[in-house]
Amino acid sequence: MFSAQTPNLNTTGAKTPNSHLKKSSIIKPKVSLDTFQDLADSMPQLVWTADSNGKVDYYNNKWRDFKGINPTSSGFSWQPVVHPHDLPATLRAWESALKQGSVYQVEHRVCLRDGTYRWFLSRGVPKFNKSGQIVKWYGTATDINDTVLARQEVQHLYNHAPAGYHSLDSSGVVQKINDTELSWLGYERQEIVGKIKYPQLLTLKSQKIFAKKFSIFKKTGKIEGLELEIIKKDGSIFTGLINATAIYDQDGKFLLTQSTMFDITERQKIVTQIRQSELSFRTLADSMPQLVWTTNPKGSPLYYNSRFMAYTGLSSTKSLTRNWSSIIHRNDYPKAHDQWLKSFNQNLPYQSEFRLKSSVGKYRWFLARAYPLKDPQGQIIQWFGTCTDIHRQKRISQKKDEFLSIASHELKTPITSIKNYTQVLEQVFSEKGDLQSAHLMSHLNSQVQRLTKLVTDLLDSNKITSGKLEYNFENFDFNQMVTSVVDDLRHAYHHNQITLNLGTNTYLFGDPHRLSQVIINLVVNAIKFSSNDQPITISTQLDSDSVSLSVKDQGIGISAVHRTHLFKRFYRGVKASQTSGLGLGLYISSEIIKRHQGGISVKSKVNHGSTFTVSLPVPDTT
Amino acid sequence: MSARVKRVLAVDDDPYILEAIKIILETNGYQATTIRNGSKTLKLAQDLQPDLILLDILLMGQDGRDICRRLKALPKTSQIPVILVSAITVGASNFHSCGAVDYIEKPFDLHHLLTRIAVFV
Repeated sequence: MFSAQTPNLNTTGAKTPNSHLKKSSIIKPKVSLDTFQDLADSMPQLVWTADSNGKVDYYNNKWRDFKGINPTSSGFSWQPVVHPHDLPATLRAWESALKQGSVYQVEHRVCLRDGTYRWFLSRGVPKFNKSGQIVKWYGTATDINDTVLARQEVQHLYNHAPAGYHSLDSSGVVQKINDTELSWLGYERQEIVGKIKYPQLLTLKSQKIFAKKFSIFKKTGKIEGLELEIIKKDGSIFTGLINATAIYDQDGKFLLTQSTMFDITERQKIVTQIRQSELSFRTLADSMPQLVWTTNPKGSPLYYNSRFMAYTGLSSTKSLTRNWSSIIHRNDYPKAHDQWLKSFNQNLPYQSEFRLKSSVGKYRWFLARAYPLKDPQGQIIQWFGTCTDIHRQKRISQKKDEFLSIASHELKTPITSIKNYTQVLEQVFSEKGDLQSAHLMSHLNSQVQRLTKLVTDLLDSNKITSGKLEYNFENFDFNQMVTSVVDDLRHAYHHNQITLNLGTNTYLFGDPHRLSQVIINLVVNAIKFSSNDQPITISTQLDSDSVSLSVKDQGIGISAVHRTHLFKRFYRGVKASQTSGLGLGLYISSEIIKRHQGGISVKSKVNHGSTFTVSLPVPDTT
Repeated sequence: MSARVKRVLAVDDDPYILEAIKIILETNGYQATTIRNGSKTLKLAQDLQPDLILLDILLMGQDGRDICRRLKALPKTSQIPVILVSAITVGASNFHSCGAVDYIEKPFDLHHLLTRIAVFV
């Protein structure tokens, strides 16, 4: 009720005009009621006074800003202006203040005239008489809505941060903890705050770590990256990463921690998985009999397995620079290095054979292979490589080649003699008119021919497969070469009818000896697979960019089935038991033609003969 | 067509091959001189002045190609055509570069030998 009662204002005035200067610095003017009311109305707050019983007897004009305060009405109560949720606490605070004669202070939501609520700070101060009894209450209500909302927002951010926040006092008791951390721990706030020490949430191992670090922390004021094993309410354990700073009072005494905690269990799992997979890799790499190595995308060595280190006798990865020139045999290094550059620059798998130096300085042959590991975008992450010891195989292969070479030479020497003598004898008998003996000698000669071919073919095919068949490229007269070969063949096989149809001549770039070998092979086959009275025709033809030579017979022919395998090594087609030879002739011929960038093909019909055609590119004569 | 009989010098460490070559050459109108010892080739070639030399590559302890080079280096013998005879296949860098005009692989056909000799002699 808006009372007409005048407020009991402090009217202690100064006795002399200047006495205020002597007594105190607080001016206590003589204030009239009007002045008081003007002052009160000028304040931005709601101003009120209440009697000794706590009944409100005055409001400044600000009461009109609120809904629910009507001092002009009878039975006035200020309670309706307070938000129903905040009313119980407000009444408690007011009653307590009235009873104890203490300052009344409460934050509550209050209804404005437009029906909205805002946070206000209501404050009331009692005035006592000389006997210590309360005679009056003086109070204000101040709009603190912005402050409260800001505070609430901060509180919200604090509570719902993606990290756990907590504060511990100097004995480690939790004083404050946010919702996030509570949810990770599985506890309610009231179970923790003020009740437990943080170490009580840790495993024994972590408790020891905590104890050690906490005392240091209180002095230094900062800790980062502390990993602790924390036990949840349900008993499960997770790993937390803690950063904290310390708050001290103005005397430098430790007050509280401000701690941030991150659940790094997932991260730990991943780290463990990575460590395990790395361990698996190393175990696998060390158990393999090969030397294993990896490099980064630039080719710098990252890892060598223990076998690599043991073989080379090198003590660390650093001893090996990017190139292996110190451990690869100097004769093998250029080729190995070129191959590596090619693969590396084109991101293609690498393969090479070279000799590696062992820890005792001896060299052994190794097959090196490397494969690039790419990410989903196709970028190379690492190169993985192995070196397999092929020394024994290589030595065996070399010995075999040496042996074949020697054997071939040793075989050819007596064969040469036999051949020469039989040919001479054939000639002698012919000249003497002893045709029968001459004929026998020519049979002998055929057999020597056959023997020669077997030996030569065997050695040549071995050379071809080990890539060592030598060629002698030169410019030569094609028709001349063909004529010469056919001439020799006619002499050797004088019982057969060999016809030659020469086309336009040309010069070719190739090995005339090897090409002669091919022609001989084709004609000998033609003779082998037809009877003596069936003629064999050799024809040549010059086209715009190639020259072709065909050997045609009218013999048993080759079925479609055999044609597909004809040029394979050791293939003997038609009833192998009925024919002689190692099945190497066509293989060798096709390899020689390939080397000349030419082609070889066959057309055939069973019982109607075959035509083998060789075509060779003609050099551009401009 | 020269009326003079052509002379051929044949060098090979196998006596049977040498004898066969001698017979072949002589029955086909050549005069043949044969030696087994490669180191005697230079002297003999200078003295004899053959129209052609048949030179085996694999001689006892010597490479026929080296002998060929030496023959080509001497003015008295440099003009004599040399045909290398070989039981091993010779690569391009090998028979031309030492100065030979041709090579014949063993075992050779009689006819083929005579044909090749006729080209160069």
